[in-house]
Amino acid sequence: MALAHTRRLNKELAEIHAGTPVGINLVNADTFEKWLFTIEVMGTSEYEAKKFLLMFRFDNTYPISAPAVQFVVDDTHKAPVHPHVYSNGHICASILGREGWSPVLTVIAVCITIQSMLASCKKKEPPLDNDRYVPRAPENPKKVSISLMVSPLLA
Amino acid sequence: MSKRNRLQSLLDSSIADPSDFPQRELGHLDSSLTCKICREFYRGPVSLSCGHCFCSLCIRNSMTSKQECPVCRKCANEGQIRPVAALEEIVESWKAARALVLTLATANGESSRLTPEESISAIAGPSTPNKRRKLVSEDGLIDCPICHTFVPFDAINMHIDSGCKSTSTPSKPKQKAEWSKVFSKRSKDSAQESDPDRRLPKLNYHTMKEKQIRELLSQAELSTAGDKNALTARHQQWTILYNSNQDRSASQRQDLERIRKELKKWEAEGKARKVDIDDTDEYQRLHKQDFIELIERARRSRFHSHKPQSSRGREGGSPIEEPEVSEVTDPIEVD
Ligand SMILES: [Zn+2]
Ligand SMILES: [Zn+2]
Ligand SMILES: [Zn+2]
Repeated sequence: MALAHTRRLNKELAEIHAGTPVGINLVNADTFEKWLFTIEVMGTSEYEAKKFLLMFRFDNTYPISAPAVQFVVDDTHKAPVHPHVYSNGHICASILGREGWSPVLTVIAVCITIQSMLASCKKKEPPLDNDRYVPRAPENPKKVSISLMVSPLLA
Repeated sequence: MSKRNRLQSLLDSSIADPSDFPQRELGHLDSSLTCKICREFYRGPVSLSCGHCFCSLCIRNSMTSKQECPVCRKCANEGQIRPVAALEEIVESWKAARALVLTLATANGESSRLTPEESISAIAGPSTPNKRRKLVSEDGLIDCPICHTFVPFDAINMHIDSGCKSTSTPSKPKQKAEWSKVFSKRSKDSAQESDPDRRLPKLNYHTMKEKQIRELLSQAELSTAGDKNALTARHQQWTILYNSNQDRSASQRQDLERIRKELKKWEAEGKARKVDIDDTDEYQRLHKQDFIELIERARRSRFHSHKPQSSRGREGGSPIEEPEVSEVTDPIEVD
């Protein structure tokens, strides 16, 4: 029972070390608080030849509740321009929310979802409310209040 | 790494993993006996109405967050939880046989320098084959042929008629009487033997007085420190731990003192504190993926990887937890 989330993450890590899907690569998993992956969309797409850095943060409620997931935005990294990705790296994806998350989902399953979300993008544009959202958003995407992120529903 | 060392490290590792096996078929067998939530071998496996199985503790924890099956997402609640005794026996047998199978499979899969004797001595651990389980206990409890929980002999018909829901002789008029019966000093140590089928009821803490919750905790010999929220969280988790322990067969159950310790650990980990509410669900209904397919894809991709197994290591510096040594319980014998 103790540290069940680190045991579960350890299992996932063993699988990740044994191999990840094409375009998804582990960059750093030195702790069980934060993991980093690069995400690349394979084949022809709006994001050809681009690599994005995806950050996972876990607390001891994982996997009963979803990890906090976002693209890293800093001097060397940018978030992909996508109707469901804010320019601060926050992502609007159902499986990251309480309703869509399931404890049988995994870090790699999330990576695949984000990868396919990018792959299926028809038009590279930011969320409609990006300018409203980004200045007010908290640092951790799991702490966003409900009123803040609305545009993807209208998009 | 030398053959011997690698084998030894696999055996020493608390982290049994399907990829330990060179043969894919054995890896599949191994992973089919693990819970999809914790990824470990089922502990006290239970099924829901949809037929999916989880560790009792895992699914009870999951239900505090969402009342659905994590695999197929059908609505689910605590009332659907049924122990799957056959699966528990399969898992325990597999755990006992696993090291041996792993040795044989590894020796078979690659050329081995170990003699059979060495292989055997390398795996001769605490795993001894289970003896037959008893069907009727000394206290006249009978193994229900449907759900395989122990039910008082005179209550078995009513139990089966109720769809395996009722667990004892006709219910007491007052819940309070039930609680005191469960927790009273007199019965607490023998509670598990005298009524192994007992589950603690789900309570509506909102309508309860702080004093009542404190009373329940004290009867269960648990800490009564903290405000009503803390008391509620503690009793809620106690109920989960207690009930999931009850979902294990008698020979796999832990004593109450051990469960109290687990509850303490849980509080020390800070899980008792209110979890951040994810507000994200309301607006994150887009991109509803067929997540079962997703899991399948993720799983398949694993088996398609061609990296050598030996490179599957824990990276240096990872805070790997001390392996938890599971207690070996003596199987009960039938005369
Ligand atoms: Zn489990
Ligand atoms: Zn199901
Ligand atoms: Zn029954």
